[in-house]
Amino acid sequence: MFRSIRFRLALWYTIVVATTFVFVSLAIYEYINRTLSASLDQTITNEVRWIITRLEKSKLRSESRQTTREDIFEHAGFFPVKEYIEIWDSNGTLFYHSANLGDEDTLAAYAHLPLDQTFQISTITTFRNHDIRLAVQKTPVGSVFLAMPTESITAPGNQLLRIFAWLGPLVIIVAAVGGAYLARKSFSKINQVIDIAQRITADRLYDRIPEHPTDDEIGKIISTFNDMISRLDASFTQMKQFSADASHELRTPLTVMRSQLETALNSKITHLELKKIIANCLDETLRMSAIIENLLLLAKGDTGQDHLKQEKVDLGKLIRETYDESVIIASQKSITVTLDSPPHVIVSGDEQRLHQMLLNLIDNAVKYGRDRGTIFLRLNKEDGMAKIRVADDGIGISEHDMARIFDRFYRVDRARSRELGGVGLGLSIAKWIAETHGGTIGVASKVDKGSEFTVILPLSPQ
Amino acid sequence: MAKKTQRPEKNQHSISGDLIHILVVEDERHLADSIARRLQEEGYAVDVVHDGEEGFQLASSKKYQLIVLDLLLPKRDGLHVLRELRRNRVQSMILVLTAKSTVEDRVEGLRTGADDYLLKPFAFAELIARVESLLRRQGVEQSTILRVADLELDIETRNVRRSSRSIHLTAKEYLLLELLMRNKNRILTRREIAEQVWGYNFDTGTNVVDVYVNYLRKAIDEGFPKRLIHTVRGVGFILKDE
Repeated sequence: MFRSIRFRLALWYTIVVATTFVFVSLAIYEYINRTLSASLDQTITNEVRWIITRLEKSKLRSESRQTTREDIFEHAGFFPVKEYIEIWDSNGTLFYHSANLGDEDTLAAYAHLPLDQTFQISTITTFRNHDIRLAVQKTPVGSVFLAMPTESITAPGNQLLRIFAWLGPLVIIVAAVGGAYLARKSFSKINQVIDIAQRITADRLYDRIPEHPTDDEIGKIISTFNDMISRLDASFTQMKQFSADASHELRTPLTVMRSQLETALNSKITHLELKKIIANCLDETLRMSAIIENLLLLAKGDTGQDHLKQEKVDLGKLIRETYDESVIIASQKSITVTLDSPPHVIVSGDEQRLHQMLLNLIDNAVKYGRDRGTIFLRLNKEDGMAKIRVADDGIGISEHDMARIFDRFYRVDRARSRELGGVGLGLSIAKWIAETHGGTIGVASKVDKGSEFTVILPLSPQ
Repeated sequence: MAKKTQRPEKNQHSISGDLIHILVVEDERHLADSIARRLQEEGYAVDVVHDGEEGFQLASSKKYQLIVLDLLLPKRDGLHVLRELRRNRVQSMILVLTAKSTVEDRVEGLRTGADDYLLKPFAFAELIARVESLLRRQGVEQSTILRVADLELDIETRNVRRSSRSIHLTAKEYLLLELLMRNKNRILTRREIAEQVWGYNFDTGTNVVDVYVNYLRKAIDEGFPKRLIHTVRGVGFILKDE
């Protein structure tokens, strides 16, 4: 629990709030202290100035010393703050000594004004039992000593500190509780994500984390996670489907072979029957070889082990060569193959694979073309791309089948395809080859009218 | 077109004198023919069709005690045929052949109304055993006794007798003998025996099979003038009455 991010988050939050509180408290305390002490100094300075002005006036008017003394006494008596005043004549005799100083104490004893200065203000900590702020002003009319207790300025600051001291723990408690609450709130979603993530295994990939309404980080984590699960789900499903299909496709020839061979081991079998069985088994072996070879090719492609060559291939030349072969393939069904003189179109890629792609498409066209029909081969450049078309006038493909025609092992009519020797991988392989060459493959078809497969490949950069 | 009913040669299974009819719906022609041939050897009357449509028509119009149905069929899917037959209250026992090995596929087949299923590739002996068991469930009087010459094995009581002398066998010896008798006149390879008696699907590299065949020989051939179990050198074993 103490190692969880949630706990650490709450802890950090509390520490930050507490630290901030302490700093702000100290700053306020310091500010108030400074302001108050500046204002005290100002008050003292003003008082000193008033006294000097009064002394100068009395000298000018040649008032009696007693009048001046009474005046100062009155002024001090009415002043709201307690002040200690001591005035020395220029000739060094004590002129005024406020009563609150007592008989023995003199302020002059606390202040030592350097000779080259006429004013000084300082805090005296040794005066009786409390601190005072003492100002000294030396003038031609005499030296004025004036002090006020610092109590008046330290009291509010100390009061404030006491308040802060009470408030501090409260703030920390509130911060801790609030931090824990916030952390829990943001982590409850994450915990939910964790829970679901732990539940998800290969068998439970349909599970999703409930979407978060807002577009915050949690929402993003959830949608990223869900996307990832979806991709995993898709590839798992594909893989499962593929291995189920592959095992199914291999089981069928195996079943035939097993049944045939079990029959062959009957002691009463005739020589002729035996030969037939051996021929059948040979057929099945060839079929299995074809499936395995094609599967291996696709598997290599899937895992990126098949390194395609990158060479310049003249599609025109390639399609002419393939045309020659296709005439032979098509002749078994008396199908005519047409090819208009193809232009020079250079693409970069693997000639052997491209040849295979063309053959697969032609093979498909022959299988599903009608007897004595026609297959049209065409190659041209369009919009800066190479476009190969293989069309037939055969049975066509229904809407429903068209979507899945490039899926592995998908066959519109399995039984028919099997008779024709198909394993249901030719078009998948053609698609894979087109795509690894940066191209696309598409089909357009009408039932009973025929189909047209179109491969579009990027031209080789010159 | 449905193939004409092929009459069995011998060993006829029958309900009060009538032949037991089995329909085989399988699009792999070679496989369908092998199955039909084997069933005929067992004494059943067999019809063979190669697509779902014909299979459905024939199964609906003629009374079969049992239908062997492949699931992946042209024209009409096997599951679809199955569903329609059950909807039309066709009472035949249906044994599904499938190459789909996932549990979901099997459950789906059984839910749709199949009585049993057999995963491809299968051994004929297993097919025959399942056919017999299904027919028994159907109430067809099935002889539970396998017979080769004067050797008899009752698959229900597990009693083995030769010339009316009772023979005691261990469990494995019994399984081995049943397999040999079900495949009488057929050579069984060591690997086939290992797979079907011990469930090993790989080369065991031991001579367990030879050892057990010898035990069995001692039990059923010793003391009798005619040997029934023969070794086919380099291939395997055969039980035959010659």
